[in-house]
Amino acid sequence: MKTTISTEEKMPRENLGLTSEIVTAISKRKDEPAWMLEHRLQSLKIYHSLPVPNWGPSIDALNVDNIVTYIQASAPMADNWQEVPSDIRNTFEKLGIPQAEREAMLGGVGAQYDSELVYHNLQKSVADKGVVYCGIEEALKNGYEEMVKKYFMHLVPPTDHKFAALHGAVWSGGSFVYVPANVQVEIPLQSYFRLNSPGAGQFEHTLIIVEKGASVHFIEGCSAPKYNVANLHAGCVELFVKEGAHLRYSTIENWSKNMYNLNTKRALVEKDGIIEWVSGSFGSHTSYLYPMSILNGENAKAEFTGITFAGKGQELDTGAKVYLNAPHTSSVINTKSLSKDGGVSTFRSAVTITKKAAHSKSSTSCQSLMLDDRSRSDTIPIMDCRRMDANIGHEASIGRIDNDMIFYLMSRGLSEEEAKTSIVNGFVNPISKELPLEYAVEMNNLIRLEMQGAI
Amino acid sequence: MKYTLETNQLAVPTWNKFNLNTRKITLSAEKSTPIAPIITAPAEVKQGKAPLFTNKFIDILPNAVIDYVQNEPTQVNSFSLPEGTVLTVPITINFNLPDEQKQNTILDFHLAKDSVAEINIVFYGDKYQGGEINNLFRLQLLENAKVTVRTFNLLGRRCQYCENVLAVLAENAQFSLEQTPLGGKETLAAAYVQLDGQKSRSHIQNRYIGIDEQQLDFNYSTKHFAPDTHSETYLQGILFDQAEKVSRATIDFIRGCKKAVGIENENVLLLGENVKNKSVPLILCGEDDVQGTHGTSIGSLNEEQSFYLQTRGLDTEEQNTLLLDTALSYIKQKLSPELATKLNDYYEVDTDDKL
Repeated sequence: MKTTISTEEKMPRENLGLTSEIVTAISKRKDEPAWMLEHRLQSLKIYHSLPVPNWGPSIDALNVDNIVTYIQASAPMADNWQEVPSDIRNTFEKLGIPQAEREAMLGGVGAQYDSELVYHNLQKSVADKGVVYCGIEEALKNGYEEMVKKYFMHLVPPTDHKFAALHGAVWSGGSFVYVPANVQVEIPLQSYFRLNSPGAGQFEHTLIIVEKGASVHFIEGCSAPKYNVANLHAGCVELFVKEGAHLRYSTIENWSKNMYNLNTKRALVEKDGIIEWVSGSFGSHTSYLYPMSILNGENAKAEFTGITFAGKGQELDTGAKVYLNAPHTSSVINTKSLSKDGGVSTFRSAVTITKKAAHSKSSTSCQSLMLDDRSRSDTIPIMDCRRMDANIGHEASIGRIDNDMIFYLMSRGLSEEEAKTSIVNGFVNPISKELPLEYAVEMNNLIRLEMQGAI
Repeated sequence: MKYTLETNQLAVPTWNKFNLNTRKITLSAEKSTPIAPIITAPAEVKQGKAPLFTNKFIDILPNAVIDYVQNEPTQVNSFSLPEGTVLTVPITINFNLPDEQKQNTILDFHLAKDSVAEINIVFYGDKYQGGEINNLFRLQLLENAKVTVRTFNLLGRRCQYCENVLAVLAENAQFSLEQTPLGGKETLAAAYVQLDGQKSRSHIQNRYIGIDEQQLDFNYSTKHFAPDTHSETYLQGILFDQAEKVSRATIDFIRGCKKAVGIENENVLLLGENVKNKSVPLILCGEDDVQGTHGTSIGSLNEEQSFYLQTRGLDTEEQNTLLLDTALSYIKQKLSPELATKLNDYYEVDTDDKL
């Protein structure tokens, strides 16, 4: 098995591309059970048999054969930041992750650097409740193999689409969270994903199981430095919300603008369960991102709140899907999007009410703000209803910042840029107030930098 | 021999599994002896039997059914209004078609500068007739021209019907379209409007009623090319029994159409246990100085409304009949008494006052 040592990184990297040898080597390096290797190889076959989607932004420039699908970490995973290699630790220090943990704002933290988790820790108070929060590979080896096997890629099977199959073949890293019945995790758990190597892919898998009556807030952050070659993120998030449970899943995505972000997120919600998605998309060159909620139990609920900001050179195709499949289920989708400097923002959604979803309700609202006439903003919603007793409402609007509003603020002493930034912050406020404070601050900073053209 | 052709393309494709990106219909190559319409038109209207426009009349996505009708029409009528003509009575064009009629009809309309007209087009026949009817209505409106077009499909329950309306508007022109696609087993209706001229305006309205196993498929697209243009698209309908409906409505703001306004609105009342409704309202925007809005509401009578009617002695079936009657009343106002009676017969509505 050849490995190359790049002059930029001292970590061994697998060959470029996607072959059964590479997939087998990944599995062997991780010392996985036989069923996982079989799953990977089957996923690889499916990947090669499926076409690239014929809708959505172009990904013609993405050549998966040029992507390094696995980079081994230079040190084993640590549960103490001092044991993490200094260059990696410094990267996360600049992102504020260790600080947030030190200040007890987080109940648990996982940090992934390229293909592997480098850090994982869980507060004792949370662990004492029986909560499990560890790397998913660790879960495979340390007593949770049967649970992982039961759930892994059942909600997002490799046959779902080409990049789900790719993920199934080369997935690496990611988090496993298990919250026992009736346990309330009051402080958020967080995973942070950093893709630091040029031309690499990140394929982390997040699996969260929230048992009956339990609740947890999980936060995911991601970033990468910008390179001149493409990077690929084809992660997968599978969330299982059992009867009466409550899961909030928050994401602030700030991948670099050379990233192809082809992420798949899906939640299965049982009776009386609630899933809340909070999503901020600021980065990536091209994104396909549509968190999906399957409401399979009576009275299950889904709420999606999202913001997308497409700047120069970006084409962000984001939205949400809801599948109402039981009586008295309901969903609310509320999104805002901005486009600037030639950026393309597309809101794409699908609400399906099946024959089983008696007396179900769904509401979708999408507001788009265009900040110049070089950009684009498209809205492509679908409503598919098979019940006469269902109730679906949808509204969308597109426009620009009112010149009168800018004039008013400038007459109060703000510069034009400050005035526009202030208006945009007001526009996104319903979203930012759903985030924990430090993430709202980060989001506002990202907006400010976008408005300045600094990122 | 049969062709399977795609039509009613969604302006921007989306997830394939919803089967919304296009609609496929199967057409037979053979055609019947065409049936000419009964036309009533004022003397100022110049009529002809040849198309007025070429196949590149309008900028739309490739559409195999439109191409098919343009290339193989079996009945063509054209109408031209000279400059400044203001009609005080509508042009009526009625097609009374026999059972199993297969016909491709083109109706072309050219409205010169400052002309004004109303046009009513009706296709009707026996309640149980079959057939394949493909229609293409093309309109060119020059500066300040105004037209209201009403199309009614009152064909029988075994018909396959496809109606495409294409309109190009110059400066300050106004186009109003009321489509009432009631008949047929498989009914497609579409309109593609190009607002080329500054301050041109388009208003499209579709009122439909789906019954039994009817399949309805609609596609409306308005492209704003010029500044200060205005478009409104309204779809309103009821679905009973096992009826299925797909509606696509697109507002497309092309860069440069500053101050344009586009509005889409759909209200669907679902009154059947096995109905299927799919709605896809799109806004595509390449210009910042515009206002685009759309809203969709899908559902049934809410409990309070239903309860109120129950307290007035109406059971569910009677409530549905009341709603149907209300919808038909609006439509009947636009039809001749003879056709209004036909409509009653079509929906088996008791003309005696039930309340």
